[in-house]
Amino acid sequence: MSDLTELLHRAADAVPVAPAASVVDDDLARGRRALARSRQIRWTAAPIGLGAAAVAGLIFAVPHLTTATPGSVAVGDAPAPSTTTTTTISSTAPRNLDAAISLVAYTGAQPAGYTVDRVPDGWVVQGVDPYSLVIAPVGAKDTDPSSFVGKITIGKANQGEIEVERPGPQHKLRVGDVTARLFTFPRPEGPQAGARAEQQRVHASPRPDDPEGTRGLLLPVGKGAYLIFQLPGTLHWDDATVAAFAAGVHMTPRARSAAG
Amino acid sequence: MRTNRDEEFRAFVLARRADLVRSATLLTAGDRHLAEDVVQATLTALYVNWPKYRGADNPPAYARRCLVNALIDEKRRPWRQRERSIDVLRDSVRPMGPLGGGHPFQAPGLDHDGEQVEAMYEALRALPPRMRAVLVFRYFHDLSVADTAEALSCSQGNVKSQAARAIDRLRARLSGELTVPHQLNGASHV
Repeated sequence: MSDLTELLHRAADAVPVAPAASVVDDDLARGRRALARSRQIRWTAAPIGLGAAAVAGLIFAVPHLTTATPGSVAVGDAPAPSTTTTTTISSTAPRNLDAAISLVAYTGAQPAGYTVDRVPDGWVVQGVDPYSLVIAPVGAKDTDPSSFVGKITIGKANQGEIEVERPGPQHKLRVGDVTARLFTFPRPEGPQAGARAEQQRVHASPRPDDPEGTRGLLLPVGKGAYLIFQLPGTLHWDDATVAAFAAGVHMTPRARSAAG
Repeated sequence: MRTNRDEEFRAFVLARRADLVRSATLLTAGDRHLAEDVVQATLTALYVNWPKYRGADNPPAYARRCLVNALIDEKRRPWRQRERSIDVLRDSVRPMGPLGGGHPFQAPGLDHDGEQVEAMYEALRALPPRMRAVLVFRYFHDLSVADTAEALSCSQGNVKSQAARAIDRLRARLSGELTVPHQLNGASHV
């Protein structure tokens, strides 16, 4: 006769215990890196929690994208493969780069995960998966839908993105019948202990070419759920335009938050 | 620069990492590399969501849920082929000796703890991950049905049925009598 609990303890006790200081340091460094990625969302590479299947989907959809992130943590249900679309919107005439970009009705196919009513004039839906909707200027050199620099990126916010304290200027913004929070993303921080490689990757990335910085918007979309927007300063949008654009973005049940 | 989060997390890791590794080792049925990966993923998730962990009604349950989620996430990774290797192992399980010939869970002719541990791992490998988690939480951590259900985000009825099935499978697998604590707050019928 043998006791199940005793057998389980015997099996579990067969492993070494007591973490060394270096192990604790490594755990802390990993946590810091993950938190930094969460806070610097979408400035650099794919969302932290981009599902493995989504990464695979991106590789299929974008042949030149070969740097999937093996360190990412897959979460949630298996996502649908990412897709890219080349729906071109409206005008291609030269414009004043300092002028605000107006909104036009979106007439292309609605991307799964998120739907949009309006897009900036001359911008296209570049890519979408359950984790993010990416809208970029027509003819953008960066055609990689997993790169978010200088693009509009929208996704279902994870808990870290909702709860994190944002030090920069921010204010409430009425969007339809809800109150959103408009803020400015901080520039990537300096190197931190144990996060050197990650920071080098961050600093090697191009920055949005705008004087006002990239703004973010946390938009309530239901009980405890938020959409998070990345809005490059090159749009030169005032609050009213941000609100008008955000009011036209809707999340579908297929949307997933990237784990922080 | 150290922050409160860093200090609290460091203390948590020092105090709880070993337990997490032990749990993960059972949850992964003795796959220590995978267990270490799972623990690292769990700790990373906890650090990022530290305010949520601290504010949770039941922080240990929150941590256990993170552990299970990390295990399931790890197994979803396409570059992991462990499920396939489990199937192979399943066919090569060495049947344990019958009652009366030494220890009931002892393979014939073998007489040390290592064999018993390996037999237990092999029996655990034959269980689906969530069923394995029910078993570990109920009979390793001595959690109640309610706490196990909370850790696994499922109903108490589901915990009871999964525990009963897990015990049945272990008994069949180990070919011996298996006593199961039945006083653990509404334990299953076993």
